[in-house]
Amino acid sequence: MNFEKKLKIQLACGILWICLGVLACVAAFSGKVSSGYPFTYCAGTGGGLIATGFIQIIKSIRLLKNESLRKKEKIRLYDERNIFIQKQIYSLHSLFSLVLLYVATLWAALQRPELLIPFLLLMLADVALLFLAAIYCNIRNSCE
Amino acid sequence: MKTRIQELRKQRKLSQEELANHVGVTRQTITSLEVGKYTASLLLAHKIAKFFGMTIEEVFLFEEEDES
Repeated sequence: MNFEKKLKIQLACGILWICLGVLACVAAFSGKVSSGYPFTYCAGTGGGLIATGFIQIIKSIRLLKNESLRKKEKIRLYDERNIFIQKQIYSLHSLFSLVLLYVATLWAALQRPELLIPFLLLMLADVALLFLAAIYCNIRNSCE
Repeated sequence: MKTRIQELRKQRKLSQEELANHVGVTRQTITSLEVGKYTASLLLAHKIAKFFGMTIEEVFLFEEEDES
């Protein structure tokens, strides 16, 4: 697939994100979802989708209109050093997300003591995942 | 890994940006290659060597300690 086609798909996805975001916001603010967590979830997801969609559309249009900018962006995206750095960041990001999940679970268990056992089980699962991720990163780094 | 990229580029009076555009990478990648902070893939090494009209061994100076 060429780069221009990818940009057009990105543009279409941007429109789709906005539509989904608007739907989520309508559901949140029309009172169809109960207040509290579902409302926050719908409104937050909707707002995020709308913002992402707008950014994606603006970026795609800018690149589709300007050939030199498009060429630079293509080089930046497919540059092997950038891809190498990106892969390393993804590994770190995964580990960091798991640590955050671990802390959030611990905090939630302290807030609701009756849910301590399920939370503790979740924490154990988190720890297992952390170990697996660490082993995976270690093996991958030793192979590079 | 040591390379002769900077030397060869200067001989041909090229900027890092121009060389980067010719081989399809960013200027930052050329900088990293020149200072030895990044080791090029075989494909990129081939592209650079081909651009200078040389072999990979003539552009990229492989040393025993690079193996570790």
